[in-house]
Amino acid sequence: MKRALALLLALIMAFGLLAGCGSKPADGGQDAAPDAAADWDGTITIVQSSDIIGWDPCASADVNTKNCMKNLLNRTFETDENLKAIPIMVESFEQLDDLNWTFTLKEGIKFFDGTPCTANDVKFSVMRARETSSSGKSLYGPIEEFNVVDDRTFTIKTANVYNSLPTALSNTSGAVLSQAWVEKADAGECTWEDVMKNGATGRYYLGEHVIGDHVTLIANENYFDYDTDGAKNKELIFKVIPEATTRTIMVQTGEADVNVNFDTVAMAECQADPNVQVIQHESSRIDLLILNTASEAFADKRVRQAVAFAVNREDCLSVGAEGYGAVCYSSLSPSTEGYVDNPAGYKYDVEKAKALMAEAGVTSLDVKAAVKTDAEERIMQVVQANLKEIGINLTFNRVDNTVLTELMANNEYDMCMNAYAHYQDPELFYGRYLGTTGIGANNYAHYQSAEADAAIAAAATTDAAVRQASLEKLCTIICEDVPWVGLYTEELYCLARAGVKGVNMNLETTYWYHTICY
Amino acid sequence: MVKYALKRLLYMIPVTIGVIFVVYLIMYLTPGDPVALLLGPDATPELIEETRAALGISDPFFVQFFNYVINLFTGHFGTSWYTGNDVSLRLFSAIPYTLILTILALALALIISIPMGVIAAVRQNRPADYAVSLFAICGVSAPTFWVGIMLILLFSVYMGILPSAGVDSWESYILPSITMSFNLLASITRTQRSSMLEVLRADYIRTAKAKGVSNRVAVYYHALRNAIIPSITVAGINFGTLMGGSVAIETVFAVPGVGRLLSDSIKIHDTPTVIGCMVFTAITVSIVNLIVDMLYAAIDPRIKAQYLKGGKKS
Repeated sequence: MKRALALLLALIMAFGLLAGCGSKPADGGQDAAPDAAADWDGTITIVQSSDIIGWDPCASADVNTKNCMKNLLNRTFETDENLKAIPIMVESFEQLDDLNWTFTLKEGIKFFDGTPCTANDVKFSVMRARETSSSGKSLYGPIEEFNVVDDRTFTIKTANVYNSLPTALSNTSGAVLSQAWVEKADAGECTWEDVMKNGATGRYYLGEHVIGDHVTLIANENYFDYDTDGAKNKELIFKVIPEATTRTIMVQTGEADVNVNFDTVAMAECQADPNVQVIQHESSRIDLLILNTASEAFADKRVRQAVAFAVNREDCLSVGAEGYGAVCYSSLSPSTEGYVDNPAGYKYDVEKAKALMAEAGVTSLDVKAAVKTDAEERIMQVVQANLKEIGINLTFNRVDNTVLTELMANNEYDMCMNAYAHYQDPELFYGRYLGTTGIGANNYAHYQSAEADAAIAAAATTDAAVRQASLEKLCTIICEDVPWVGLYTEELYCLARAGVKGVNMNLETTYWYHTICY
Repeated sequence: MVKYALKRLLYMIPVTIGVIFVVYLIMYLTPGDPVALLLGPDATPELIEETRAALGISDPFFVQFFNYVINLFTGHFGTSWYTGNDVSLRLFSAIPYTLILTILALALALIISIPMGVIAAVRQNRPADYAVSLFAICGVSAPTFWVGIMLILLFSVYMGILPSAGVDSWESYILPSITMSFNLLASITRTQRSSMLEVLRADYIRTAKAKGVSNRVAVYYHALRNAIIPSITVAGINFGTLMGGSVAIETVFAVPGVGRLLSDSIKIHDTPTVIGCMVFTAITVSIVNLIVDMLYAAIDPRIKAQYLKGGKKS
């Protein structure tokens, strides 16, 4: 009897393994890809990992929320594939001098309720973002004056040179909304869902939001540029599917058309599946080690440089992103303006690292690091083994994302990990993350360099050549001073049904869902 | 009996306050700043402070706790720190999904497990008993997360006959309710089997058989009535627990129920929503336990007699 039971158990386990590992689906469970286009009813179903947090564009920094909202909300500018600002609501604009800009809106822009959208609504929306949104405060903070000339024309004066103003205006927090509807919502006379059904100007209006389940957007056929730049589908449904495997399966079975939060664990299986396509794009996101220059351990530049030589980035990429990405020896992402490729000549060279440690007179060092995620924990294990070879004893703790700023500001850790993507304005980014002004906040490295501060200040100019030279100088200084040790840049992936067209990705994310169709 | 039920209902008030206190304390002591998470990396220290003050997070623990309890007893579950929406709105939108799943899972589990447990007991140490025991062991030990994924692969990917996730149609509830019932089914079967074995050896069953009662009547009429009580206890306890939501199942099958709401809210330190879910679970468990106790009386005349005499139930 025992033998029979053992056999039965083995059979059950074998079935489980076969079911779990198999990749070839039965014909009955799949829509044949070529038929999908013929049968398409105009609806595109997108699966994403989280729900929409709320409908006020100034209230949330969540990526999935912003990506969904962008379909409903027009900004004066949008960013294209290369993150370059392109005018959407604006017919023409001009930078008059270092500080003054003038903009003219396109004709015939209307809110969903039929009322015209004017320059007053633009001013109201941008200034509201500056008052109430965390990103709006920094992006629109340099605006000194915002004047409405007439219904279609407005001028902006900035406090200092602000070349990235059009890019800043493409941020979701500055989306143009009807002043009347927003004031009603702020006064509690209507909901924010009502604003998304009446008081915006986007390519879609809100159909319904079933909390935790799905959001339906319906194509706005009265969109001012509908014929040339309107929705190529009739309806967008965003389904909230928290589990990565389920999201992938839903695209494989045809229950969804696009998975915008694709997990690379299923990469091999999906690449072999003729019913789906994996769309890949390079990313501006760089994963890096942040060395606390104010700590005793990393006060000496030579010790920091030793770390940059001692870390095996290939191994970090392998455990951190399953090999999908590219190792990076610079401290800044290759997509960053003013990027210089490895100016300090770093490579995986343990002997060079040991020599630098000896030169600094350090034979043994205890270092404490903080990690926030599973991937960071795996990477830090690699770093731990690498640094042991040069006499650095690394210990690390898992901490919550929300307390990292406080812990690093209080010098409780010598090292942490983080990842940064392209920022709207490099000058603003560098100042806050690597400039003296960011110490105690986002400058986790406590990095202070008069030379770097000067380069950041010099980059704030309309002279393209001077700006480029300043940013390149800054990149070189950062790489040589090593407050950050660049590890690798990740790649972005999106999974779609075979036959799906118009999935656009840029350095940050999947964008422009209005072009998706069969 | 009514007096007993009222007394039990009144006990729910201190239980609920106790639950709120414990959960509030845990959330308060958990490291992490919900405001930093809410506002993102661009937030200035001034904005963070303003938001903390607006949400009442800057207040001392006992002030926050006291305010919450007062609000709760005036019918307000509070406002989500993260979405700014009324917690009750989100909670009441999640409850129907979890309720449907729980009822389906429990019904499925009871319909299958009671007969299986009886058959295993009646045919003790025979192939049917071994098969039921093996099934029960597998059911108890298989992780629900794994079972869910396996069912999706089988019925959605390979056979293509059921949706893999969501709550769009009645078919969407089939796989999650089977998954949810799997573990419950196994534990009720085990309970039913052991309880039935005990009752079948009781003197009154032997007497009934000696008096010429058929085996079928002895088992299904006399024995089952007494043997089913422990299974009802297990089912009742599990019903309350399941109404608190199964995080794994609701996540795998993308069911926007209470479990997923709770898990999502914990991740983002949304204390009002976490407490709302926990209060709901505590009240549900208390009510279900009360109903189970009442059911005992309906099934067992001895217990009913205790209530009628005003005897204190142990």
